[in-house]
Amino acid sequence: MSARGWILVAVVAAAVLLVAAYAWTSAPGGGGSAGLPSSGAGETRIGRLDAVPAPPFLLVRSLVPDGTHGRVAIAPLTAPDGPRYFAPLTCERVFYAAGQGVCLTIGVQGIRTVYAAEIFDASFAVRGRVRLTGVPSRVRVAPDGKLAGVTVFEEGHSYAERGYSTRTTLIDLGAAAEIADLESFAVTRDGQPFHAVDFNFWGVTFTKDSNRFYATLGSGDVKYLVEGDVNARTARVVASGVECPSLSPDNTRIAYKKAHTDARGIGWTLHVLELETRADTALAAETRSVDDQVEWLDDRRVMYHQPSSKGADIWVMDIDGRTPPALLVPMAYSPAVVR
Amino acid sequence: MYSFDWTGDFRAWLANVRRRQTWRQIAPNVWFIGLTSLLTDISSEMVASILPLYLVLGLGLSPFLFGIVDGLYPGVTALVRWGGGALGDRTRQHKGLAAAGYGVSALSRLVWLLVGGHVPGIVATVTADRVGKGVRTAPRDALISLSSPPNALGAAFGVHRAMDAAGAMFGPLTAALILLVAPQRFDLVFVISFALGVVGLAVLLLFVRNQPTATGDAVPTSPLLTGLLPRHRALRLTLLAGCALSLATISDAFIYLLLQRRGLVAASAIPFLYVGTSATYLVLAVPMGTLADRLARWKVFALGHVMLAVAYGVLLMPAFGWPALPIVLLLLGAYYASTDGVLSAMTSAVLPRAERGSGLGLLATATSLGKMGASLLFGWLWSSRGETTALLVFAAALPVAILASVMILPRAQQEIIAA
Repeated sequence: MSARGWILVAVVAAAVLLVAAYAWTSAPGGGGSAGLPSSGAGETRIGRLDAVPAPPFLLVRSLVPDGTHGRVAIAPLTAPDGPRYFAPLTCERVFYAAGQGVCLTIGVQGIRTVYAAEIFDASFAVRGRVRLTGVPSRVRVAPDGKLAGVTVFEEGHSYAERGYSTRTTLIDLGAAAEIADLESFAVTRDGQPFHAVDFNFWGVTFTKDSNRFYATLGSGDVKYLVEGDVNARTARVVASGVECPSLSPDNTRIAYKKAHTDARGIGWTLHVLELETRADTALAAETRSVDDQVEWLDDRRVMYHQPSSKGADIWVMDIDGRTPPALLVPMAYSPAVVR
Repeated sequence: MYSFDWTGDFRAWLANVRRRQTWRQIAPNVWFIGLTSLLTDISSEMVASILPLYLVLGLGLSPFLFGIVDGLYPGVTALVRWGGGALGDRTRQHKGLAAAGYGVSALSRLVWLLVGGHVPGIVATVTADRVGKGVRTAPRDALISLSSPPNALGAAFGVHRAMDAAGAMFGPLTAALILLVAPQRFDLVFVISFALGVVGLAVLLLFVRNQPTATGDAVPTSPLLTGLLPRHRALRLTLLAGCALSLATISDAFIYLLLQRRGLVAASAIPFLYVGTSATYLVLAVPMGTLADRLARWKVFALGHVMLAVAYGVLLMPAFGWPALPIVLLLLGAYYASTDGVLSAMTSAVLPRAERGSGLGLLATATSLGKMGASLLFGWLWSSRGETTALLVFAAALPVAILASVMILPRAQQEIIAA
């Protein structure tokens, strides 16, 4: 064989070795410890829970890279970065309110990947299951626990094509059944019927009365804020430039993310919109991009995640737009405040 | 003049495909470039197919990030294709430029692991991969054309495109297999993708020979539009025909969406449609390339677009029911097999060796801008006038473009034979 042939054999062997070495050292519980936490073991002492505690508390998806990765965990609001207690549930996204929880899962059936919304109660028992059509992205449960809104990304193929689409469905938690796809809602803009094939809905947030909700409607390059009525199956455009809205507990404000492509690069900034006065504040104290549907810790502070080397951490920020954000829960994701 | 002697042509073509002579005309360079493309396509498609999943589940971000990146510089990657080809001519280093493009893309796979959820890092990684892909396209096609005898250009591009399609087909399957064995181990997909990309680059560096243009050929001093287009009438005509047809072409994504809306396929099964189209493309690329060399390239090129027009017709008739799905996928794969490599062969045939890179780069830029325009137009028509009207407009425009190209292309191709 020629010299070039031998060099190619060497390159192939090196490539195989690289893959094998990587797979070996990075395997969970494998030869190395690259994925294991080096510190913070004390912060995340494991306790087991058989039912939710008395409110208030914080419910998260824990990302401590050990056997509990992806498990639903609960921490007291007084010490969110202290010990966390694990529920017997593993989810990709989770939300909980008024005795009803939704856990979005991904599983394998034969050679197919299947997605589902599992509905659980206060003792973490799964009472129902709704099949989802794509990768789970957002979930919110109405404050009264009657409905949930779930957003999934329908599987695209190549990122070279702008072919991403979202689907947002409403689930009746009592019946454990899908009751509507937001795309079937009659939408109006300035009082006129509004429809386009490229309609995409995402990021539902419910008012105290679960019949009314807000969500994002994307069409073309514009992201609209719509206010929806579940019983009437209608929605109307109330603002634009708003993505992933989240209503404050007192229902007076909406925190959302706004896309920017400027000197800071491509990314999203959090904003707060006062529903009464229409006053809009950019939360410029956070200089990093925020790609999340925020959750309100109380009427003055919002929580969101930032990716980290261990997956993600939950941060908290005052809505005055000046106080710098602070780390709230390390190695956690998908927070829900249960009041 | 444009009539086909179907049975006679078919028998002669079948004999031609079977003949060892046909395969012997494929230069080792073409096989090795094909192997590089195959490995690189597995590498890039395995990452592309898991990126939405990785972004949403692995990082908690949204895949709309890609939409923003693509929306930012829609024309830039198209222009990079032209620049890559022109630079290849200028430096006479098509191999070096292609290697740089493949290298940047291979490295970007590893960078995915390092950037994690850092948004500016993700944007930079996606951009680097796009630029790498844009830079290498024209120099790679120039190398294929410079390595092949003029009467076997169609077959050579057919061999390359078949191997490319095989990569596009196996990439998503490989990624799915990895995630099946090791659920949620996106990092493993990136590392394996990087390893495949490096092996592909090694094949190119070790076994592909840079093709010198004839010593007598002057290095083109101005490879820009001002120099190239006015001097070559045949190139102008070929680009015109290619551009007109690309403007009447509905993108795959829209066709699959139409099939989905007819209730013929579930949204979650759309990735399998790409596999189906690639499989047909893979099987037919060499036979169609050989047929193009034998018959006349413009005839096969036009025939490919006729098959696309038939696919539009099938989509317009809901009465077809479920058979519409396999028929459309077969026609789509056959359309690619008869047009993509054949157009590159036609363009190569009308260019002097020293200007193959610039010409093929210009072609890649023109057709990708044409397709981009077609997608915008189709999307707008669909939104404002409904899907049937949008389909009807394209189904009416395509035959007109085919007729125009059938009048233009034979003149362009004859000019070359005379030259």
